[in-house]
Amino acid sequence: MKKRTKGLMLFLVVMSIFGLVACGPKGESTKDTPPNTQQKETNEEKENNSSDGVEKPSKIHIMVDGSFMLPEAGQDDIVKKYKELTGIDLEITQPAHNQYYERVNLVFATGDAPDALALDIANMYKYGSNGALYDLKPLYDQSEVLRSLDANAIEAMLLDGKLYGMPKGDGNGSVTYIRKDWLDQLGLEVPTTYDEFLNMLRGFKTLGNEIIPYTSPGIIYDEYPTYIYNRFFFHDAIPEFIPVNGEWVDGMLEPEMIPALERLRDAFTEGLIDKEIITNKTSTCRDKMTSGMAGVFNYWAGQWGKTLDDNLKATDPTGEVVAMPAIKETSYIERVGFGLSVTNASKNPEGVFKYLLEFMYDKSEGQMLFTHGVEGIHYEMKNGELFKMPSKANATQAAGQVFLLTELNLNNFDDHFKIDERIVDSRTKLKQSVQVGIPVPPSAVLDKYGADVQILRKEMLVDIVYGRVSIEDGLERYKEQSKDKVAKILEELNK
Amino acid sequence: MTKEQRDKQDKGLKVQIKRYTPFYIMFLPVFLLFIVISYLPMFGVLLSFTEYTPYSGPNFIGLENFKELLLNSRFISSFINTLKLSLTNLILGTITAIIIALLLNELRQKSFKKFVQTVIYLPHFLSWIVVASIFTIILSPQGGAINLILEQFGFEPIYFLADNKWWTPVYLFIVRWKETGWATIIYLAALTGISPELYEAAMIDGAGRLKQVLYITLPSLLVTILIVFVLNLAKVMNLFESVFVLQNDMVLNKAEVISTYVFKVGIRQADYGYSTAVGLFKSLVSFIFVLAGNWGSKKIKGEALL
Repeated sequence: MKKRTKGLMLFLVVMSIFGLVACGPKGESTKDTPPNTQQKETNEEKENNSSDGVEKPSKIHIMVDGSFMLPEAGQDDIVKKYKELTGIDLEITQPAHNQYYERVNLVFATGDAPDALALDIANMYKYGSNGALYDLKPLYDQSEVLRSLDANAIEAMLLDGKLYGMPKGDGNGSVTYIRKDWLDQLGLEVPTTYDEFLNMLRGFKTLGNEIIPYTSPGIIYDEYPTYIYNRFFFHDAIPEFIPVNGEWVDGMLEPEMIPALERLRDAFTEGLIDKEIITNKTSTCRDKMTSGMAGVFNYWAGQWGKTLDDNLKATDPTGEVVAMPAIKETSYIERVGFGLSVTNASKNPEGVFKYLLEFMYDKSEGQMLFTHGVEGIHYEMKNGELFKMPSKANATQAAGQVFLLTELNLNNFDDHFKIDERIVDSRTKLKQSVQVGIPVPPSAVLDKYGADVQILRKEMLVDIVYGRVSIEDGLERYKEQSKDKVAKILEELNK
Repeated sequence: MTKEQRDKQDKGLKVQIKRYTPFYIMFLPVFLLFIVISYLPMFGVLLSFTEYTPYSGPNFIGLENFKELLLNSRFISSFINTLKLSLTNLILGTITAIIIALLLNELRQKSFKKFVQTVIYLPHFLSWIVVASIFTIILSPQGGAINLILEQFGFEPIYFLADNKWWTPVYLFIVRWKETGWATIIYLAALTGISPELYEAAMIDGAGRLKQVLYITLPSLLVTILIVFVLNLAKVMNLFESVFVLQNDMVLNKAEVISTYVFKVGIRQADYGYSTAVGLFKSLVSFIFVLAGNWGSKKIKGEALL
């Protein structure tokens, strides 16, 4: 019995130890490989180097957000095809979309950064200026492939002459989507002025007690550009740090903010703006739009022009969502491009540049792979035209993007894909009247105090719009509460 | 302790290990796991004395983070909110759980009693995300059930979850709705341990139901109440999930608690040094609460719980 007990104890201990050590990382990226092995790999790889002497990596580790094809939609097929075409293992880390930047912060803090990762311009500037990203400008200057991209898009991404990422496409922006069928029902035209816009909202309100004329996920947004929504109420006011005559100022305290706040408050009091504007998320606004509750919603141009309309038609076949041009008092906001950056943690940034970034924009199989996926799985060619196949994630929908978008293409690559007219229409409406949202230059002071100032702005906006405090008192309170932090931020920006 | 006594003790432990080797071996992985998961991470509190962001550090800065948090109005506000919400919830929770347990204990029909218990336990198993979604819809100023009723009586709709005046009572109600049922389990178990003879004797002496509760039931439950109270006191500062899903920008001055503040500063703003300092401060306060509760128990009952 004693022997059996001892044997059982030993077995349990061994199983426990195996259980603990089994929970380890799946694989190793090039930077995790022990030095001796890495040296051996480098020697072997040298035999396979291209003629320009750039070392070909055996593996590239990238981190991407929800804009990259999800695993359930066929991400593995992309990885397999990439290996087939380049001989390189592509390891993709894809955190949940709404936690992406929290994970980005963590990987840099823990020294576990991938070779390349997707970043918006604000974070690209932040990490680039703090030495976490590789300056691609010298490589870009030598690259025929990447110099074929729109030079303006590249120029917009430079920070002090350095290029910390390649744009994945045109930055895109937000347009106003409206229920065209409701407009027709009311006998109204698409508004061209603010007064006509208000009349449209009033008309929508008469269509039913449950109708929300205008919905939005907050009065201001949390990510750059924070003022991308609600432009029709803000007009030329910008609730952010902005350059005015070469000097950075707090847009909240500029003269045009007062009439903007009046417009917002009056429209809210009249019941034209969603009462839940403060607690709305973008997903709840989309649901309200596509379930037929809301009449107007400001959202991303491009693919959403089709998706919102399709989703509405699934519940109401007579419904129609269209994008409208900007009213004459204002313009839409376009952001500087979202892109792919190479980190300084990468052991072979030149290899990542050549075999990932240049490959992605090669106007050939690489660009097709990173735009539409794998032929026969995600799309098929018929008579020289590309047709999407059913998505692996949801067979009732067409396969979605991989990473690059045809409509945001920067090098005039003809992928033989006919873009849905609604996508083209929303992009056209955006471009008709648009200004670029200028990202606030990064600084340690902005990192420290920026979030607190943003909270004070939101509190002030909410209290004014909800009528709890007058505009003058609200602005005065904001000025008083934020003055020290805003002064420090502006001092840093205006250095 | 003298050297002799120490030697005696060691010999005692060695003898124990030798005698019960298989059990100590079985315990070893658990012990190692406990050290790795519960104790080793405690070295992370050293980050509270550093400046540590994704692109710099950790650089030792002494007590600067603690100086900053004591002067930060957002931290002070979140600390006060944590105390207000948690302590109110703790007191309300104790009272409501005891009352519900006493009422349940009075139910004579077993099947009905079981049905009621099942119904009141169920909300505990819902995740906070689901609960928040449910109450957001019910309390919505646009078509929410409560506001529809208010409008029927001629009142203006109230945006309960976005109104500074209403957020706290609504939050406390939601927490009680979710957790009271589950909290009654311990008290119900304690009630079954009270000798029926005491009640019989009380009835003979002419005591009614209320007097039986006051003079037999509650005194008998006192130890259980104290244990549960002290255990819950240790968790006072750990308020996070329930607040996080129900808070929004309109009510931050009432709804921002220490844990949500640490999450925003630490994870979203990636100021790891400062947020660790806030977390450490929170743990110290929790520790003080536990000691205070233990002292209170000793004063009331004459014996400490820890």
